[in-house]
Amino acid sequence: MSRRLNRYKKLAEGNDMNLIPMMNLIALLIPTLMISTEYLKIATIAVSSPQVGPKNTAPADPNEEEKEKPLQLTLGITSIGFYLKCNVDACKPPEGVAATGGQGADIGKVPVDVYNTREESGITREVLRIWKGADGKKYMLGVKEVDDEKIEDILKSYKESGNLISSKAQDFDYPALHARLRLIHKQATDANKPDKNQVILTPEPKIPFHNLIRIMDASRSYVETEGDKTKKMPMFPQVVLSAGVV
Amino acid sequence: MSDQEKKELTLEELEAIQDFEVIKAKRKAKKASRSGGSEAGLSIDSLLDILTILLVFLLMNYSTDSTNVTPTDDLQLVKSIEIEKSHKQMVPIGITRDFILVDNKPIVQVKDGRVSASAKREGADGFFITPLFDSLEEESKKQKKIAQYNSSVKFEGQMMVIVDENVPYRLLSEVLYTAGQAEFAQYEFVVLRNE
Repeated sequence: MSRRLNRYKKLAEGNDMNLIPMMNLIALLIPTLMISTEYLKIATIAVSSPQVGPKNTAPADPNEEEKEKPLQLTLGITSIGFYLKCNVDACKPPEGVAATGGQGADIGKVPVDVYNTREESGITREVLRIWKGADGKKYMLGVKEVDDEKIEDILKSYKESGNLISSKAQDFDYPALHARLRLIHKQATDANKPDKNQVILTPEPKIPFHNLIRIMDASRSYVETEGDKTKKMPMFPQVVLSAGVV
Repeated sequence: MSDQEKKELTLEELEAIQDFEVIKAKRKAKKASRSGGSEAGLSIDSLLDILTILLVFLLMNYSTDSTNVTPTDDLQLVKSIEIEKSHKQMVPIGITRDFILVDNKPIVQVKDGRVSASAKREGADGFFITPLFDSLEEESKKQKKIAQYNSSVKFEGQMMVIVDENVPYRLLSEVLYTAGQAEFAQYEFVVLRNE
């Protein structure tokens, strides 16, 4: 019995694994991986510049011409709102209903909730911006649906540090634009328009880049829900930037 | 044992006592080493655990893509709901609040969202930014030369535009126009994925 115990003790004491080569390997792997690690999750949005070319020869049948008339969806972006132009009925504002926000634009600006944080250096940085859609739902990043719980979750750490400042601001009505573009897309798909996937953006020179990205987000795709499942569907994935409103 | 008696000990007896003391000390040390009491060295097990966790984290975020975007104070990327990323090899063009960069090298200075009239071919109202065109033309020549000798490489005039969130559309369209003149007609905007 005591011999067996001694043998066990000998095994336990004398056969420790040598971890040094393993440590060396890991120490080399870590810097290698650190170089190629993606700390920021980035994505890319493909955009086209306008193509200039000769006009196609007109078809002989006038009905055929009407049928094949392209959608030519053009979205004007000005400091007061969006202007829509296309060859389907959905581009016209609904009868008897003034354009959102009035002011002459097809889709005007709306008040949004803005949450800023004040950093130690005194600079304020925007944390979150919430749009309230006509359907009563709340949206972040223009068109991403969020509930109160999610908003609370995002703002929690800022609230705890006591650096959160909430205010109101006027911003483009992306939820309304998204809803209108879905209607246009449906009509264009039903009419089988040849350029049913294309939107031409004509922004004013002063429009900042972040507004363009919001508009692209609102126009490139929509979320379709089937029961519990959600599916991202393309709407106007081909975004063309034009020279703009001069 | 009194001092008187101690003095009476012979030299041999003293040596025997010393030997006994040495043997006693050795036994004590052996006993201590068996019980593990003298292991004062660092245990690398816990360090290895930390490194392994770090390794797993780095492997999870591993990217084979060469795209390297580092946001700074004058280059804040826009957050987007877009999640797809192109894996094409593209020339990176940066438009920050202070500079226009080609392949991370500053080419033209930007002030208040404008390029100075002297850097443009047609003056203040022009779209053609001369130093940017020169730099992009050089890049396109370089890529064409590579394509000449390497059949697997093809010059497609693709560029990746990394734009600060507050850059006005006018400056962006000037850059895109100039790039188009230098045969870079396909472009993709870099945005931050919101997850």
